[in-house]
Amino acid sequence: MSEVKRLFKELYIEVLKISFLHAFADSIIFFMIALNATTLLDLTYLIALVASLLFLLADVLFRMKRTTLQEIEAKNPQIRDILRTARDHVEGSNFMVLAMFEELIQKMKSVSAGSILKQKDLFLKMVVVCALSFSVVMLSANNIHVPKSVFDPDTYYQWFSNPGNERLDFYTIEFNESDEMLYGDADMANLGNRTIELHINPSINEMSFAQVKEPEEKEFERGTFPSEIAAVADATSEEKLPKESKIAIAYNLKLKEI
Amino acid sequence: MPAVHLQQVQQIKTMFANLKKEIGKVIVGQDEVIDQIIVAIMCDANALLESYPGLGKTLMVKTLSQIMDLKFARIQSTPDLMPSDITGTYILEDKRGEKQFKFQQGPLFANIILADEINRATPKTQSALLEAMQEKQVTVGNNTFKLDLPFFVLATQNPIDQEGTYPLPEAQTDRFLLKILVEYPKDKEEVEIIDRYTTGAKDPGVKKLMAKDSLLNLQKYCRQVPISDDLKKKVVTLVNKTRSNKDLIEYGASPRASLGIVMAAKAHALLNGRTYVAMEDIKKMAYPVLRHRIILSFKAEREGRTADDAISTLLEKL
Repeated sequence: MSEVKRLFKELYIEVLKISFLHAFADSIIFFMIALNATTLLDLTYLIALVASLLFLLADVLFRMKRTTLQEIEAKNPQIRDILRTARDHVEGSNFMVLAMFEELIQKMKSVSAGSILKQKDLFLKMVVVCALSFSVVMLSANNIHVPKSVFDPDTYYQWFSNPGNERLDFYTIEFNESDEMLYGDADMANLGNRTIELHINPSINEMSFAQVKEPEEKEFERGTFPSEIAAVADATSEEKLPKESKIAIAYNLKLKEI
Repeated sequence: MPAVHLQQVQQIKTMFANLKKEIGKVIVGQDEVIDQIIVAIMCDANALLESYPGLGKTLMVKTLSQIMDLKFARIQSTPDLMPSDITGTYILEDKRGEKQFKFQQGPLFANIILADEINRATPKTQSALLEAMQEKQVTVGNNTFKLDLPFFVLATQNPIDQEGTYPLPEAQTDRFLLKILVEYPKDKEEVEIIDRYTTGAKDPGVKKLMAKDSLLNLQKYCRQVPISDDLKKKVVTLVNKTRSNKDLIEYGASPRASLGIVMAAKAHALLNGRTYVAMEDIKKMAYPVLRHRIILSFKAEREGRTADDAISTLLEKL
């Protein structure tokens, strides 16, 4: 009798494990779908992660509640009658009931976890996960996302209020005073027809190894700092700039005044 | 854990297989009938056999009693058969010059009784037989005599030649666990019967395969066969349907039918080496248990339907 009780307990645990496996597969699919959505909407991946964890919890609880002996019987009709009878007589101890328990234990050996596991469903879920993973990778690699202006009612308002516009262009940029911070002065876009030639003289940075000699021994006195190794303030970046660069800078400043 | 009990159940199955093989030496075919008779014996109940004459009923039961090492008696019912003819009577005996009454046991004091054409016996004689079936005892005068166990009555009825008969009322037929229909043999079987019984070959004889005590133990095990609550509910639903389906059945079965189906299903399961009752046992035993306990409606009879057709319809809806 205790053998049969242990058998029922093991069977129930086995079915729970399989339920958890399916719930985990479902939550991975949910996570991949959510990740696709967050990638498209340019949102953080944490939203998808949290949502899928909540989904996993809910799915596990739902499957645990649904898991009953009927599910095992449905998957193994050849042992349905004996399972039900054993469940109803689990406390019995007469000759025939003991014989039934022995027969049940023998028959349960032929029932493996594989017969309860929906292998086809699990395989399909894995295929879906692979497809969704590929989708996420492609979206991320190509930086494909839904522009925020899709969710901006102003975009649609502008479209409706400008009857000349033939299409709704989510990528049109308008230069106005409020856009100065983002795009800079509008006139900066018009550089003019002048051609600026910039030559960077690399001679400033040339090093001559011909004049390298052995360092002289010097005596250092406390409080003084030898001039050879003293840090010398270099010329400011402005003093070192070539003449042509100075012209370009002055030109740009002038443009700004305009 | 060694499957000791299961092994014994498998041995029971083997024993019954050998028993049927042994009967097969004498009786050709009729496997269903033999199964149902054995089911009735294992349930410690009685059966009603409906068959045309000449189908080997007496030979079948006699052979079975020889294999099971049980005492066999045959009662040919006639309209002038008295109760004392079957129960026994007191006779005056002269012993050493002293006359005293001694009870002479009737044919009822056997283990297997074949009451042929019970519908020809008078109601009074039928009652005496039914009392013995029910109480496993016989009352003669002021004395009650217990019958030897196991005790099994196989009553037969002829579906033709009903003139001058006293058909058993439904209240009495309800006391029989099963009503077994004996069909004509198939052509192949009939040819084999001719070969066996017209060539002058010696009677093959049968071996004793079971002792009386073994049969009593089997009857005890039969009651112990477990049945699930789900199947019990289905049996009750089936019997209830016989009462509620007025289009098909005028009068339905009593709760005795529910008991009968469960008992017969248990015996059928054990006969097939199963340690539990399955749905197939219920479906198989529903027919012999219910067919004599229901009365078809006029509409069903007019349509030419039989009790078995009605039972099939109810089982389909189960």
